Amino acid sequence: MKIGKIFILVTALLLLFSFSASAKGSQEQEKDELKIATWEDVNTFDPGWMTSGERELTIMTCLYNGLVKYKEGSWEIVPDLAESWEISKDGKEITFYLQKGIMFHKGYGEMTAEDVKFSFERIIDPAVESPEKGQWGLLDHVEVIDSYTVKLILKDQKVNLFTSTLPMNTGMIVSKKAAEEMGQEKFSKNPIGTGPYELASWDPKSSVELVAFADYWGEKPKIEKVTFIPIVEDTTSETALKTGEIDIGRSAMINVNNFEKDSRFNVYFKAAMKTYWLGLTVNKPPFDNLKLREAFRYAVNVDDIVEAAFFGTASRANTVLPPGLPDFWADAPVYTQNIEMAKKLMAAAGKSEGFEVRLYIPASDTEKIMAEVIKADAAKAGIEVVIEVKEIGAFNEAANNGETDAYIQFYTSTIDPDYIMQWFAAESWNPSQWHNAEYAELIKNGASEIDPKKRTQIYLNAQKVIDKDAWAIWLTHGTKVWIARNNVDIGSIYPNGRLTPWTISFK
Amino acid sequence: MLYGLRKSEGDRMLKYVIKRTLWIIPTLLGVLIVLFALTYLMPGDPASAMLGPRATPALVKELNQRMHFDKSMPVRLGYYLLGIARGDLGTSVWSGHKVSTLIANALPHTMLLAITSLGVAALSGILLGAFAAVRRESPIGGVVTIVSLLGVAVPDFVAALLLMLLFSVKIPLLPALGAGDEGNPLSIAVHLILPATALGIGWLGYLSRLTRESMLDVLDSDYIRTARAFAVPKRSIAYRYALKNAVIPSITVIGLGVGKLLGGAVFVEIIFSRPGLGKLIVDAVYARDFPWFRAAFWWQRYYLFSLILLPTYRMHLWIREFSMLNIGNTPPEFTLKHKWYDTVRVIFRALIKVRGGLWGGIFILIMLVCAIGAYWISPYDPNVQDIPHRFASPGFEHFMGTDYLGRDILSRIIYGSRIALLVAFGAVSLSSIVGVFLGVIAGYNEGKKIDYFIIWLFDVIRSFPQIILALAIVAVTGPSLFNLIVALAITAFPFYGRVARAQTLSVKEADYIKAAEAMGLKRLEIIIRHITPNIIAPVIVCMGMDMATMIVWESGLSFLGLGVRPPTASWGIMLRNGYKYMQTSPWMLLWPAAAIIAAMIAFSLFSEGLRSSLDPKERER
Repeated sequence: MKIGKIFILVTALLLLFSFSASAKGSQEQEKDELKIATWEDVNTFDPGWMTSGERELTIMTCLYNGLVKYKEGSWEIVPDLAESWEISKDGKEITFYLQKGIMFHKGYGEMTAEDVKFSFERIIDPAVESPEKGQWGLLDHVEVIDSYTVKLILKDQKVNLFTSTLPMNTGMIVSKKAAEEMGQEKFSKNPIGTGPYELASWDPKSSVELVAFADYWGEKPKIEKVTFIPIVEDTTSETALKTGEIDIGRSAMINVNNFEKDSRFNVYFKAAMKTYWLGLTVNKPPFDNLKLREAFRYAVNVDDIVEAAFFGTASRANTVLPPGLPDFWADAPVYTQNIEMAKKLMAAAGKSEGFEVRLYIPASDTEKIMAEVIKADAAKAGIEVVIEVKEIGAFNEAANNGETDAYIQFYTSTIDPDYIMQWFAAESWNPSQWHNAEYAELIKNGASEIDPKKRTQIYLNAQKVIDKDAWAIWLTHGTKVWIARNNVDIGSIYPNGRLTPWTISFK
Repeated sequence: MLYGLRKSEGDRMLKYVIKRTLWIIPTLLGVLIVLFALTYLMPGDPASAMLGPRATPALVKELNQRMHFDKSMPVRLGYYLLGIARGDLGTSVWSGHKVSTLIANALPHTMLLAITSLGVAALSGILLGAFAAVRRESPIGGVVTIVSLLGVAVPDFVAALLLMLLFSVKIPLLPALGAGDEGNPLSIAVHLILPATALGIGWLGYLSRLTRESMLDVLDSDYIRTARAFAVPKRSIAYRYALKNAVIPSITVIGLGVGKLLGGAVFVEIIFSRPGLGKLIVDAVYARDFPWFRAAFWWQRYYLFSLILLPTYRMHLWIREFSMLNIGNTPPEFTLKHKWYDTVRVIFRALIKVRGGLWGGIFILIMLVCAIGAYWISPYDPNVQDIPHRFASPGFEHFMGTDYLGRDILSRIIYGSRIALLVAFGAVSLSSIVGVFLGVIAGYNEGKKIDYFIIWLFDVIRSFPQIILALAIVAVTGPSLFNLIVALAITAFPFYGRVARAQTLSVKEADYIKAAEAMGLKRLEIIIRHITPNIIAPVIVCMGMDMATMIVWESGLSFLGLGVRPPTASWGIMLRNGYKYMQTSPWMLLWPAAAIIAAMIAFSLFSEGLRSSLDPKERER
């Protein structure tokens, strides 16, 4: 009777569930929506306030254009919004001739020289405190000559203007009208650019949906809708790839092999242009002693650390700059594990009985694996490593305040060496608390040295200074791996693994 | 006539509900203060967490100013309370969205998950239990026992991992990510199946057993016998008369269970990446996103209060009934000779009679031996790495295989039992000592200020889902073994306090206490020597059950990265690593899962044996 009915209902529901489940499984992928897993959610869509290249830059390149861009799939600089440009003899005045008839998203009108002026000058406006102020530090002001001609006036020659500042987020053009109308706060959630995609919706921690911009001036993107889904766990991304819930994602390094063997997927490897290092804090014991820093460098086995954390997909690093940069120090010494040497150095420093090191790491799996190997290595030399796992906020705070004995950190590089190296001459984000007058001088000179040969020599010398002081044990430059379902043509990927979604298509 | 109460009781109930509602005000205030304190003390500022390595000091300063993080403590508390009074929950540092919007987005996902899992579990659990009671002799009874044992023994996050391994990874049948496409009921339903099953499985087991037992009681009662005498059809008796009454305890438990369910939802939402409240709170803790964290927490509380209010009255009655019928009415053996070793002797004698309890006890003993003798028993050093031989599958050399650094899993499981037992014993003894002490003082001073203060303290802490409170405390104090134990103890002591207080209320009216008072003994002496030994039996039962819970929470927090330091072997950390490599090396996930489940079964059986051995009614059967 009643009970029987309920049973039938329950059974029917269960049947429905299982039926719909199998129906979903066999459904063909809809061809007009691409789903990409990202590592975490975005904070902002405003290029002047970008907080993470890892999370936000790919989306921003979909939404905006700059005057120039890196050609898709390479680091070659090609025109974007600007048709052409002229550089004055002293290198301090650059005139850009803009393309005509380029429209902003959502009816915000045509892009003109006024927008260019606004986009750059707001970053150096002392009232608004953009984190990118340093990138535009040498900009004096922008002159509008006519609607389609604009001139950048610099305080001094800026070597990395075209290689690092203009093609990155700092060079993206936003709609003046929209930004002024909305205010900075609202604009960061409602971006208006000229890019191939416009923002359809943002559901925090859940999805960012972009749709193709109907009036886009360039080649139309091949896929109508692109959705970015923040997925924190590698495992979740792997599972979602297998169930078809996402088209492009990542996997734990150990499982990459599996995807390579699986015909349903294509795997793409790129050198990540990151630099991971094991840093030693030099402003207090034990590592205020150079001998102990050198001892620690001999105690750890970098090859093992990298092998354990990256499962053979990345090779070891020997200097701060990733290979491929013209200023890369190719002859940097390769330190291998040498416990006896480490013990000798410890004895020389009067610490033959060993010492304790508190190693701070952020709560991420890669760093945890590295730390576990380091602990086992150091124990062989009689050094006791205590691993302190901190949430990223607490970690950053401890590292910046020099509360650590040692830490594992990574920074991301562009193709210009200044971008990553200047931090170690700075007050903030210099977690080893290392201050070296010679180094600071070199970095300062490098920023405005025009002669490429001299500039390379400057950065080589700077790398040697770091090596001599032994406060960093370089680990690896990492690897970026993308896994795509086999019906996806992944298009062009930048050499550091950044996707260009407008070139992606379904086969 | 709610719940079939008599009319005179209706008035009492109204009074009770009013009292209960008014009580919420100080409790909420307490909750707000605790929340504020937690976020105030939390290390790491949201600015650097949010802005990342690219932040300039100026920007950090600006953000701190905007969020009032640079102000002194009382000023911040003022801003905070003012905001809440105005109905403004603040703005998330992370996304810049209004916190109320974020919650409005997340709440439906959690509600849907909670209602579905609880609804399906309740419906099928109650029916299964009733069916098992009616067909006492059929094998269904055995099935129900097994289902209920498994349901209780498999923690929700372990169930979630195993279900995902089976139905998304090995057989890619069901989606494992997110909550489905909005506006597509089919996709939403499909995305619910695995999380709801993981969350509901424990409830299914628990409710089926509860219903079965209460149904058995009801079927024995007089009015059913009368109905039988009147030749009412069997089926009508069972489902029209008996089930209505037998279902009451289950309904009460469901009302209370929503709170626990939300705690479990945290793990399930994280594992399945569902954008619900639980995930929101954990994300906020990680990001140090204070306004968001506080508000999500607070709203979850608010929603809980409204849900709990109604069943509380029934629960109140039920606790009274329970304590009168069962362990609460202190058996004569305890009241007459209340020496502690008598208590112990009675417990052991009775325990041996119940076979399940014995088996549980034996397994616990094995765990103890492993934990103490780990050094001699385990075949390898648990921390020795062998990178060339990592991810070895189970074989002769490594019985359970090796992990991602080539460490022997069997050895790590054995060493892991150390952490599990240490945390369980530590947290349970700490919380029971503090809880009983406060509970007895409150009970003995019934109606006085100190009683109200202690009850208030209990209620404030009980207002938080335990696991989330523990998570927040560990986030404040930093992950370590000691902090973990303290955090878990803080979340658990009010429960012992409530039990101890209720017991004290009945014991203190006993003649021997009156006699002791008449003899002029000091109050502290009466409390310690005469009251505490007599209320300890139900506390011990609670301890047994709590051990299992603590083992699960230790693994849960370790799973979230808030447990002991690496490379210490802990089942939770091993589970987390197993989860990471479950595509290729499922054994890394299965072994620690098996260890946790085995420990859960052992402690459940043991405490079950303990309970029935201390229950005079059971002993007669």
